Amino acid sequence: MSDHGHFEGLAALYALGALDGADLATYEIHRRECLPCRRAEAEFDRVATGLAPSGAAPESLKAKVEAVLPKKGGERSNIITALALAAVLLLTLSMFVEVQHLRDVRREASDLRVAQERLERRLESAMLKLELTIAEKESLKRAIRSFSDQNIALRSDLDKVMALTSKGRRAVMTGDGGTGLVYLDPAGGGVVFFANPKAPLKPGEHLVLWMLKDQEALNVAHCDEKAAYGMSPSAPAGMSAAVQKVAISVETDPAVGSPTMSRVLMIGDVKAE
Amino acid sequence: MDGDLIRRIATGDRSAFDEFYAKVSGPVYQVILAILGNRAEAEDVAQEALVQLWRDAGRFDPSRGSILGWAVSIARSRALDRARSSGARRRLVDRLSQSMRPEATEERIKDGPPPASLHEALEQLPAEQRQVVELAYFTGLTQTEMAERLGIPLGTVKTRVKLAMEKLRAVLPHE
Repeated sequence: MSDHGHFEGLAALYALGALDGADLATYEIHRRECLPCRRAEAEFDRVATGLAPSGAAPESLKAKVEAVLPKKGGERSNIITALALAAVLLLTLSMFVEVQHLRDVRREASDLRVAQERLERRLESAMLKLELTIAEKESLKRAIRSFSDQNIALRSDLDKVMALTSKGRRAVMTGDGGTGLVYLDPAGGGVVFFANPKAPLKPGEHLVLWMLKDQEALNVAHCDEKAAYGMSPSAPAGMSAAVQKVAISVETDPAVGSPTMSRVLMIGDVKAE
Repeated sequence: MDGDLIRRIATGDRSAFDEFYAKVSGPVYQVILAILGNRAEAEDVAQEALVQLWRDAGRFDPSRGSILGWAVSIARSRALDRARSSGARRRLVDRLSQSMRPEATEERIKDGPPPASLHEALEQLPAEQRQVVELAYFTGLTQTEMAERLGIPLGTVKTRVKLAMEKLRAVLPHE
């Protein structure tokens, strides 16, 4: 027996399940590399299959087998397929709804962002206005406070001047480095002065104020240093002689108009002579 | 063909069951009956084998043989397991070892018409060749066990089996 004939004999025994011991190990190694032996083995397998006696199975066998098989495997498969399809559909539907919802949410978010930006701009604008308003308010407060202070001082001086002039006496201001305003009081018919920080009256200089019964006669808008010394056309007789050194600068207030209010550089406390 | 059937079985397609059953149930039952020699017991084992085949169909590789060959192999293996535990195998071994049917002469084989089927070829084999094939196939004895049982050298068993199987192979239809 040739070597290959030997292995074919082993293949026949192998197909019958009768190979054992060292022959079985030898053949299993050999068959892996030997295609002719595997072909021979396949044919011997067909012989072994054909050795099964011919004949049918008893009628009862099929029912016995079916009784223990999984129930309606095909239907189960169909049900599983249907369930899977339903799950896919449901998933798809829910994803569609989610996508729509997401789009709505995104749109709302976008709208909200726009609205927020608009509000932020308005808020910034309002804050700016508020700051300006606060600044203006503070400025106004300061102005009112200053005006009030000035007004108080003015009233005080006015009271002094009015007290003096109403008695027909001269009031003399002695310069102390401060400044003042001259105000022609139409109601009171007198001259009012109050502090003016811009143009100090030199120390020692004096301003003589006097009361005119006819207030129209004093037109301080046209006063100059010379006029102030003289005031000849309208000054009461005797008053001009009492006027000493006075530095007067007059400017007309455009809001009020000449000659009702003018600014005169002057300084000093009002004293009765 | 077998591959398609196996795929349908593996997916649990019950419509494939009838086709599968028609294809394998006869040989499966008959080989089990031949080994066990008892119809009721053969039916039980055949039921178990067919259910196992149905459940394991997904593991079958069509490239390694036919579905019928796989089914018969499983059925034979199950039947031999049952026979070993029930004592049926010993009785069958005894019977096949002792009772030699009328031996077919080499002349008869030569002069007669060629066998039309595998079973006919088996019947025409010399008794000692047919005996080793049947002992191996229906009782599951290995070559060594057969040599011991028959009281012949191992080489003789190998030679008888090889000659018998080659004769049987010769009558296989071409695929």
